[in-house]
Amino acid sequence: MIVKTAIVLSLMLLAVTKNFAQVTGITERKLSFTISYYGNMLIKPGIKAGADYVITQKRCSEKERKKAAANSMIKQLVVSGDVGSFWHPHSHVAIFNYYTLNYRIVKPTQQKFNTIGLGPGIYRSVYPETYEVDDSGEISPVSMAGRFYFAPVLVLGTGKFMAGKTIQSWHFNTNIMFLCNYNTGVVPLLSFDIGIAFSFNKNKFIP
Amino acid sequence: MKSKQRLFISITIIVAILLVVSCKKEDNTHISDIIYVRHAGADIPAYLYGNLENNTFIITLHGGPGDNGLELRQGKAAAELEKKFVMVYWDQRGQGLSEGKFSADDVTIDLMAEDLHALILVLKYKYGSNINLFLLGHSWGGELGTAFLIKKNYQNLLKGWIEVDGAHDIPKVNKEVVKMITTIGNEQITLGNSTKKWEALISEVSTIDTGNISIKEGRDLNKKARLAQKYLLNDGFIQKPEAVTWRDAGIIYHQDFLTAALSGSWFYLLNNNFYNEIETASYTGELYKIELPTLLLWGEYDFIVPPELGFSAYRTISSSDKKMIVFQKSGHSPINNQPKEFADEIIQFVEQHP
Repeated sequence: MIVKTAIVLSLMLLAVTKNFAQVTGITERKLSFTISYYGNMLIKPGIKAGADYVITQKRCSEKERKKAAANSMIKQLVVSGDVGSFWHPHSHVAIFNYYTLNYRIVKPTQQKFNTIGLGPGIYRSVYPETYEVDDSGEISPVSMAGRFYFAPVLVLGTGKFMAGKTIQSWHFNTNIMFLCNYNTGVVPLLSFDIGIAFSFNKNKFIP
Repeated sequence: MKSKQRLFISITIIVAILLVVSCKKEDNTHISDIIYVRHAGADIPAYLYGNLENNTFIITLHGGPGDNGLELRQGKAAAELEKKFVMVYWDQRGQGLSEGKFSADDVTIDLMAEDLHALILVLKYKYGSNINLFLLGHSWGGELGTAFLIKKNYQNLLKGWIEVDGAHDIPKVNKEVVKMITTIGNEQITLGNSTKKWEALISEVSTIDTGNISIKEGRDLNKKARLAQKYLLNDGFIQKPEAVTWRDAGIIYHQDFLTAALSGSWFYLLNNNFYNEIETASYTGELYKIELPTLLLWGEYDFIVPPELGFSAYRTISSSDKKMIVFQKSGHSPINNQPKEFADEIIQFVEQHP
């Protein structure tokens, strides 16, 4: 089940990337880093760090740009890798790592962007004190107990650029992580992250 | 001058730290622990809060299935009980923040009774084999608790059984709901309370063949029972639960309502075998096996699990040490409707069985 889902997701990502690249041909690339407050259900506190890499982008055509007037757009395809953790008070700690392919629409005049991303991930819960009881009633303490889940993630986000500075933008993302094989099914985990993106490259982010 | 300022700041910080440390009350008797029990493919958390001084633990079995352990911690009753005993709020397999990987086909009431047995073994392992254990089951928790007590010699592990509006016989529950809606509905019509609503409800249940109530009809009856309670709550027959306090808000914060609700609901509703087993389980014929001191607590206006279930259990349980209390201003959850009286009855019962 996990392998099949992973293969399907990979093929989808590959198809989207390939298709996008054929349309554009623009080769400007940019690496930036992100750091965010990551709250499961917003209020279970955590932190997330990651990197975004613009693999391809295109402006609207002249014709399209005239139509859009001042709101000319840049469409970007961005790959992101994120790692983070959150704390469920009085319960467990969770650690996760995911990779997403994001479709980002940038409106340079408004310095705004909206993002939708999808990708595979992995999630690990870590419980506090845990005891295992076997069929014969034998009890044994388990250290660092927890469970791994294949956890594809859907990201919907918005943000605003702060061009010309090391801190390039701030963002607000809604993340839905789907924990597979959680008990007897799939369970969504809703989280929000609020953070900034920064880059050590002095070039202006939006050309 | 600068060195004097630094010295002053340093001394202030040290004094502040000392004050904070000295003000911290040493309290080894109150615990706030969480333990995960790994059993048969599930990792199930138990939250323990309360006073360890009496070495007495009350394991709570929540309702649903699909609810979570900490729901029973909300309100004044639990706060009162935690002053005297350690309350163990148990999430149960597939619900609350329980995790795991297991087949839905393997889930049975019997397996969940074995999970409970595993919890008891762990509590005795961690806190000592001489701890006093009581079991409290509400609603579905009453069904699960009963299944546990009649299995093997498991009841010998406990000091007492507290069943609160427990659904230990669902076919009987369904029949009694029809009877209760008709009887109390007519009384309310005579009193002129919510007349049209009661007439509609009575008319709907009058078409049900009580000798052959299907699972689907049982589910509909559960909805009608909730409506009946709502009418009585609005007309002042059931005491309104107290407003949510900051303590309750903190408990809600510790829950994960989205994940827990979806996990619990899917676990229950999408697992047809388990669902059917619960909806057809009837333990009345086996209640005689219970020889444990028993306290039966019911709400007078509990339409979801009518009080007749409690009276029938009272008549059937073999124990000579048994008591049935009916709370006159309560529905399905006297823990919320009459929290003080509810806590007082439990404290009295537990203290009588040291």
